[in-house]
Amino acid sequence: MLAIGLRTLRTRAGSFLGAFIMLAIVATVVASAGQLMASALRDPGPGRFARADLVVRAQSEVTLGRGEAQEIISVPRSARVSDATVTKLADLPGVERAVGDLSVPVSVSGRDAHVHGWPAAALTPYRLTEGRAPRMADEVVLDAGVAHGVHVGEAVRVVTPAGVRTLRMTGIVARQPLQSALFMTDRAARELSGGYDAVALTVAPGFDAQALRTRLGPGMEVLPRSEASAADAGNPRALAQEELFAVIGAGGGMTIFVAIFVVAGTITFITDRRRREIALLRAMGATPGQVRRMLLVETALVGLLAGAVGCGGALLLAGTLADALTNVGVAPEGFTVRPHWIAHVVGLVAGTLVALLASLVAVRRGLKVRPGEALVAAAVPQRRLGPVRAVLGLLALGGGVTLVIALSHDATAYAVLAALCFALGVATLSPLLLGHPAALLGRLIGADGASRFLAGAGLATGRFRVGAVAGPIALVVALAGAQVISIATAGEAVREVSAARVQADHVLVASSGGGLPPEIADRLGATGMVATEVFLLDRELSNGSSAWPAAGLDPETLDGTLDLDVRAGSLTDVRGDGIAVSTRLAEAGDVELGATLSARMADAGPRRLRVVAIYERALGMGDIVLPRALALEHATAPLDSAVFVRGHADVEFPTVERLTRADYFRALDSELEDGAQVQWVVAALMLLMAAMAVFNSGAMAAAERRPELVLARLAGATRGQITRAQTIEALATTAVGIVGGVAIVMASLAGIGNDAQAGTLVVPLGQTAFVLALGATLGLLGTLLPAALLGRARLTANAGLRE
Amino acid sequence: MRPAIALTTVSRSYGRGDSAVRALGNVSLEFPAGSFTAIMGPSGSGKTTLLQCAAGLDRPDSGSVRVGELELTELSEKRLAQLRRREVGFVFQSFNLLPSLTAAQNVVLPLRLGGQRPKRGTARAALDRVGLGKRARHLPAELSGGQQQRVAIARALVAEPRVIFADEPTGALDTRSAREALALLRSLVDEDGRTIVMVTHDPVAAAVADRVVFLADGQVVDSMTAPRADAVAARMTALGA
Repeated sequence: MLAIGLRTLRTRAGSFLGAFIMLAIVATVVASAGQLMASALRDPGPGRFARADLVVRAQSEVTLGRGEAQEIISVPRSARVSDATVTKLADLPGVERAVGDLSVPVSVSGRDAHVHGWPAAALTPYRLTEGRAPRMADEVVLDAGVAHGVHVGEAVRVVTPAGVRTLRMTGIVARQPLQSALFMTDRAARELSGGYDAVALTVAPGFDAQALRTRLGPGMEVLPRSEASAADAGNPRALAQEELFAVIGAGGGMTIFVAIFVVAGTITFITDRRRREIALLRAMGATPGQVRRMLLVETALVGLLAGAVGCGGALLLAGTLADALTNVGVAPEGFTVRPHWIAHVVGLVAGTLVALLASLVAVRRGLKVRPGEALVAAAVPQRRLGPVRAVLGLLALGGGVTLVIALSHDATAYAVLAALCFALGVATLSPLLLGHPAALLGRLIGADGASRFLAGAGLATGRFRVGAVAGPIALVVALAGAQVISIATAGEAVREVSAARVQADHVLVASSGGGLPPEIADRLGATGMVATEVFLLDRELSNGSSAWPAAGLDPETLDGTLDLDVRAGSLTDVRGDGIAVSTRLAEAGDVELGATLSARMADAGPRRLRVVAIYERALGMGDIVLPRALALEHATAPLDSAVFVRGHADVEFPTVERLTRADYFRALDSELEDGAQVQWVVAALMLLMAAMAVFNSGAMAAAERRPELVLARLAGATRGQITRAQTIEALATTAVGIVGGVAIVMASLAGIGNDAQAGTLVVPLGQTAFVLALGATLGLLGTLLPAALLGRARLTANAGLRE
Repeated sequence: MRPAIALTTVSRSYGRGDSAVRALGNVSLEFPAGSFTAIMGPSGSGKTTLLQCAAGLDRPDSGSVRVGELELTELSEKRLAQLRRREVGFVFQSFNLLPSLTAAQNVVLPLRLGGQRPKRGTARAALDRVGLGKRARHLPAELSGGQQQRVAIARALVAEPRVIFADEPTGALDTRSAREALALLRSLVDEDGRTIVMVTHDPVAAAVADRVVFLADGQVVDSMTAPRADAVAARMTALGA
């Protein structure tokens, strides 16, 4: 039986090709995602701490939610460790040496780098290749990469968070991959930092790390050497894994959904075309079990093969994908993919599993084939919408409705997901929802003329065929349309709110894209804004599994630079542990003025915060306003992301870029576009699958319709009449698909009025027209191209008996 | 002697409600072992349904179908499939062969489905019997219609079934190929003692049988032993076919 299946597979390679290509794409996506995740999850390695045995730092994990919904988030940089802690650790029995380590972000001749204390150089080790160690506060050692072109003894201008320093280079160390390093005396470095980030320990053999953990308690973490680089705030790999996972997970998950649906259609079609073969096997004495096994083994093999191709594809593609994610800012700089076998397994399993899941419907239909059908010459299966399919379709539609209603307060964010649900539902029920309108259209146009008559009849009787093609067209239009409109709407809201909020005449930002030393804002008396985040621990306030974006501001500087539109309380009370929250946050969690919130700061440090003001204009800035000093103390990098200046900004400072108000909004636009790019990376895969589905079902529909058209030609229809009939059918099918897609977009955005972040609905004309044109082009190409290719086949080919 | 196949008050309808079509109404028929029976009747008279019910390809709504000792209406799908492998052979009008298997592989298909590894020469012997020993490795697409039909007959032989069902076996063949196929079927009855039930439109084909049963509107209306082609044709004309 297996051999029979295999032989069938070989002779039917052509019809399986469509399914194979789509499965291979899914497997490639999943295996690439697997490679990326495996690379991100891999033990971060010792990094700069190769010579240390253990690294101790303050707790870096924040636990949000409870029970099943619990999420543990690791912050990029934990709270500072005091000098006293270093001494205490050094005095422990078994500890040979304890070195306080720190990283301060600086900029040297336009290049981002990190300052460390000289004792930490031995931890890597960074070895002097020239000159000597720093001894005075104004002396510095550079790695060979940063030192490029500077000689020992010369002066170097270093932009530090505490201002510009002119330092004398006393030596050069060999450079290390991934990061650029400067070394100052420990005291000078600590003055910049305000404390140590971590303590690296060298211990005697047999030292009990677990006992140390117990002794230090839950406030501290002890990392083995294999994970030590996580404690290096200067290591780009220590950056947010959460966002990377969210993007990969969302993209991969939704792609798999679409894939199962699309491949299911293909495999069902192939199985339908094999009814006579199955009937013959059954007549020859094949049991239903044997038929089921044959169909499952066939699809599993196709899936496995596609999985293998996908794994190969992933090896080629993962690097490109990693670059793309780095470019849009989701993956950290220097993120590279190191292939891991588990991703291959995941790819193979994904290909096989998607194929098997997709074949379930086909197998059910295959098992319904009666052996007696082999006796009947032209066994045309009567197609009806099966109960399983109907239930699945209704479930998908119900899911969409639930999303739109339950999450209407966040409608823009969930519009694409809702559109996906609706589109899958509509496509599942397409013979009903799209086939009937097409049939109606067919009756309207089929009134006179031979071509119109043929097309009308074809549309009216081929509801399943028409639905199978129009469904994916609707899917493409719905996904792309919902994406375009929700991004534009969200972007416009940010633009509007920002325009109302920002009143400064000039805005200073760092030309490198990093931040500005706080000293600049202080000197100008301007509004320095520290972009950071805050975790709120109350369940109602947890903001899903993410931190709330927050801004550190000095309230007394706001006049004439930022207008937050305060609704309650006063911003002047934002000091100490007093904070302001946005109306959105206040409404989401029922927070009132004077409430005390239990929070963890960006460095995971615990803090109780008191709400002293509620403001309106949060979009594009953050839902929490912290006192700037508090924000600087806990921020991953103690820098201002922007400085808002009233009147003329007279500043002479390297790395500072001065923007007019108009320039600032232009920069904001391009930032929004970067954000949109991330969403398009995710959507691109789904769109690719949906577009493939259009072509695939177009080809299947053409193959199914062909015998009828050949018969029509035998009955005397001219080639021109057939071509016109096909064109009319293609136009009607595409039109129904596009209208369906547009309807889905409107349905998925129905809740946008409740989304406080959305403002008014924005339909970008150019992009919307592009989406419609994309749907039309795909639809017409997908239906007419296969028809044209098949039409070349000989007219004399048997019309009824062969498949 | 016990008949090879016995149908007792078999009824079968297709469709539901108003659109239901009664294909067989209370038909009782016996096919003696070692006999060659032709079933004739106008289109839609229930010929093919009768054949399907008798062969266990379809289940009647009511009535009983016995093949040898077995009551088919009580068997599970799996047991029915096993019965078709061992007890029954089929020859159809068209699409008899799996296009992806060679002639020899098609011939041993019933054995393979039963999990047997066919002995060397089994397929060759069966193909020799139908005069196609040299075409064993050809795919169906490389054979003529008459040759394909003979491969199908070889396949019907290979499991040595007691009963062979043929549905319009000559329908798609030219006169000469038809004559060859019919002669082959006849020899299976005369030389091997098998039972054949054949549905046909063709009076010449029916004349090869021992007996002709005429169906109309799902009922047995007549039968004729030792049929002659002209008498069969005249009877068919009277039935309005």
